[in-house]
Parts: sequence; structure tokens; C-alpha cells
Amino acid sequence: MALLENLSADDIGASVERDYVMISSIQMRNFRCFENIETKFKRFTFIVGKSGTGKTALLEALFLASGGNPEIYFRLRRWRGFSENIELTGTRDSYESVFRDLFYNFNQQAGIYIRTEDPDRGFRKLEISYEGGATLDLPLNATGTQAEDSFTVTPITFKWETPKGFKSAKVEVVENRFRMVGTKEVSPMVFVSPQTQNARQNAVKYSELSRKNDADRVLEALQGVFPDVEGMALEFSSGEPMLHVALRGLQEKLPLVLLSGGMNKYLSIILAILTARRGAVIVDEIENAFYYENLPLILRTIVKLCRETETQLIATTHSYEFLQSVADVMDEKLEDQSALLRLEQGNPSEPPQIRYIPGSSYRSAIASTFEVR
Amino acid sequence: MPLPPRGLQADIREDFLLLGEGSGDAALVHYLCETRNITGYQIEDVGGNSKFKDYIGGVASRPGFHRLRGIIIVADCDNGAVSAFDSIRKQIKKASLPYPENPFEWGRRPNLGTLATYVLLIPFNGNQALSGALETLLLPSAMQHLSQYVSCLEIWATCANISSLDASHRDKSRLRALLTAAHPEDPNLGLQYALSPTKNLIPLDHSCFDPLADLLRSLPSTL
Repeated sequence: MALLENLSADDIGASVERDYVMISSIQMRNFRCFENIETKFKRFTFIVGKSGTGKTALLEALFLASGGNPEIYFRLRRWRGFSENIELTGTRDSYESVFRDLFYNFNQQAGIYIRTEDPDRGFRKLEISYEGGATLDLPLNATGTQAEDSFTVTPITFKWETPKGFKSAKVEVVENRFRMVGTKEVSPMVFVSPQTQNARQNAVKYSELSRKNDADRVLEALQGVFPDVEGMALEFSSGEPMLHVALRGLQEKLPLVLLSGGMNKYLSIILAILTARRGAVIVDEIENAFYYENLPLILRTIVKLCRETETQLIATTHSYEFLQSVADVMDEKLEDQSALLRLEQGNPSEPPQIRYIPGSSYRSAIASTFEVR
Repeated sequence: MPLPPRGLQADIREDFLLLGEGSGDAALVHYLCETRNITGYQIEDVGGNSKFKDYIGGVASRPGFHRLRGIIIVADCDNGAVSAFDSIRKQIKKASLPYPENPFEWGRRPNLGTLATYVLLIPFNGNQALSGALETLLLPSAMQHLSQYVSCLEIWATCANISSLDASHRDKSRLRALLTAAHPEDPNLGLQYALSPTKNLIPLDHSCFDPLADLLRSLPSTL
């Protein structure tokens, strides 16, 4: 622990000049609360703003654009708290209601446009619209023939485009189930939020790293913040593989889920970074579940791992203590690799605007105890 | 109403942000505006010369920064208007903000948006900076109001050979001696507190403050 606490900017890789970013900028129109915005990203980008100004929506835009199958939209719905079971009542409105909150002002006539720039891989564009697709008859009866009260909708289409070409995927309804065909190519991006963390995902990622003989780095990172952890392994619990940790003074390993929320959250982030090499990890409410005194050490370790794996970190936060840790960790040598994005909304009827704040200005602001959130 | 304590600085809510380089500068402007009913400024205490660099460097990070029309920096001449101004201008430039070429004029840069900056050095006579410090400006009001101590003050000043000091140190010494005499319960009373009208030590309706009040009242319209 002492070793990590004393890490200097050089130790965490600041002396390496190359500033890897997977996503250098985003432009988007008509997505959720955003009418039309664009902004840049740095390797370490922290997003602040009052509640309801679109911090999570900005992460969702990045995540959707990185994907290749509309299925990821349904994941976002679940993480937002919508039920997994979607029942269509056999009306056009019923179908469209599943997607209406994706569109700015719920206006589904205007298509959604999201474009990100990747300095290495080139642009990545996502368009979501009801235009140009084949029609779809609803509802279908059990025999697959058209029912008497059927009607016609145009299925929503997700179209991803990269320099290599484009792939589009419609969200169709077959036998009252959504069916969508995805593309193979996706960007290496992991979304960590209180809703996405789960024991199974962590076990799968750990197993993936273990196969590549890279599990030791997980343990090392965990011990850096939680020095009582002596070992970790995948063990079966109730017939399911789960991560267990050996704690100093205990005779048996404990399932990780029984330990602190902070340890589980930290592990989710560490696993995401180690499995998204040369990609991006986006974290919603990064400070959640962490004890404030641990924040600088946690951030230092995360920054170190991001540099070692050439991974970009984009995270939202409400915590001033976390932002103070950012200013501390992102010192003179790292400040050029960091930025603060603040979402501001004049009044609720106006779309939020985004302010890009360079790391140097942000650090000065924290030193002057300015409110920057 | 007292000057808000230093802490987490709030959003920018006014069109003009007025930064006092020291707590005394900020308090003077704050209480002067309050006494003379001058509005439109958000007045803040930078916390001293050593903190000015970060303060001006971080101001663009604050919520509401984009509504700002002007930033006015109030600082002591400290016996050298030129060097005081140059030091402030360097910091403004380093923060990538538009900077003025001279004190008492707005600095604008077309490529840096509509924001302008202004450096107000005190003491000044309404046209140009004078040698001295904040205390130089405050002294006439304090001496008139606390006239019962003036004869003692002069005897002490002669004994202590105060006149051999530069204007800044001379006036700082004289004002401190006056405040110590008039406020024995706390001889070290800071200027930011001594300026409060509730202390009744340095009346801000004195004519020595008229040039500063006139400038503050008219400054927004000159932009």
C-alpha cells in the first residue's frame, strides 16, 4: 500500500509522452437530451454537471456508437431500470414507445446521429432512424400469417459506419419477440455503472485474464488498495463460479460479493481496464461505494493501469473529493492528458451545453477551491 | 452583509467578476459597493498574491464563466504601479485570458471571445495609480474619523521615524497604529474586518473613496 501511495507521476507512466486515446471527440444530434453537441476527450476525461444534464446519456452515446448490434440498446434500457420484459400491445405506438426516449424531445422523425473519432481506427458513426427500412406487419398470429387487425410499421434501424464500410441492423418483431442481427466488429469499450456490475461478469473477465496468465495483475491492483487481501481465485459457490478472496486472518476464502461494495466496484473497474486494452472504459458515478480516504490511491492505481494497458478512461462524478484526487494525481506531467467536461443547462426547456475544461485550468480551479461541478 | 468567507467558491452569477488580490482589497470594494449601492459585481477575495496564479488560471473552469463580460482585478500598487501591473498581466496572459496593455483600460482579444479584463490599481486619484498601498487610500478616512488619536499618532510617527519609510510601509504603519488605538480589544484586527461598517473605524462615505466609487459605477458601461 505504501508503495502505491508514493507513486510519482513518473511511476504511473507520465514520462511516456504518447497520449493514447481511443475516442478523441464526439459529435451527436437528436440523442436523448442532446439536440446538437460536440466535444473533445482526453485520455482521462471526467464528466460533471447537475443531475439531469445528460452525463449518463453522454456515456450511453459513446457505448452505443462503439457497438455493432441494437441489442446493446436493450442493455442500456435495463441499466436505466426498465423491465427486461417488453410487451407490445399490437400498435405502432407500442413498438415505437420502446425507442422514443432515445430521441431528443421524443421526436422520432428526426434521426439520431452519433460520430466518434478514433485516431488509430478512424471514425465510427451510428445513425438510428425509421427511414428507409422495409415495413413490418404487426401483430403476427401463431401461424405466422398476417392477422386481420394488423398494421404496418417501419422497423427502427441502427446503422454503424466505419472506414471499413457500414452495417445496418433492424429491430424486427418475430413471434412477438424482438429479433436483431448484429455486426461482428465492435470497439473495445466497457461500460461500468452500478447497474452493470455483477459477480458473473467479474468472474468471466477474471477467467479471461487468468487464461492469459494475467490474473496476477488483478491481485496486485487489489492488494494495492486493500492490503488485507492475500489471494484470489475462482471457486464454485452454489454451483456457480464466483470470485473468492483470501483475507489475512481468515481460514477460508470468502465470496467477493460478501465483501465491501467499494472492493467490488474497484475490481469491476480494474477488470474492465485489463480486458479493454487499447480501448476505453467508461464509468458512471466512479466515486460511488469508495471510502473518501481511498480515492487518491484508487485513482492512482487506475491511472497506472490505464497507462500500462493503453486504455482510455471516461468517467462521470458528483464528488468534489474525487475531483480533488484527480487534481492531485493528474499533476504537471499528466495534466495535458486530462480534461473536465461539464454539462450545463440554462433552464429545463433548453438542451444542455457541454464545456470542455483543460487539465491545467481544472487543476488551478481545484487549487483555488472553485466549485467546478 | 459581511464578505462571504473563503470556501468553495460558488458559480459565477454576475456579468462582472471583481477579484481583490488580497482580502483587504476585496473587502474595500465589497463594502464600498454595499455602502454606495453599486451593483453588478461578483466580488471575491483571491487570498493573496501567491494564490493569484491559480485563481486566474482556474476561473474558466467555473460554472457560469461563459456568461462573464469582464474580470476586474483590484491590486495594490505597492510603490510600483508598473511592476504591479506587469506581474498581474503576466498571470492573466498565462491563463489564456485577454489582457490589457495598461492599467485602467479593458483588455480584449477578438479571438478570445467577448470577455475582457481590467486591472485597477490602488491607490489612484481617478486618473492614474499613485504610489502606496491599500492603506494609503484608507488613511484619510480613518484619520478624519479617529481624529482623537491623530496627535498621538504624529508624535509616535516622529519618534519611530516613520517618514523615512516608503509610502506603502509608512501608510501601513500609520493605519495599523490608528486601528490599534481605536480597537484595543483586538489590536491585530485585519483590514478586511476593520472595513466593515459595523466596526465604525473607516467610514466609506468619505470623499477619498469617491474616485473609486465613481469608477466602479461607470466601469460596466465602458465595455
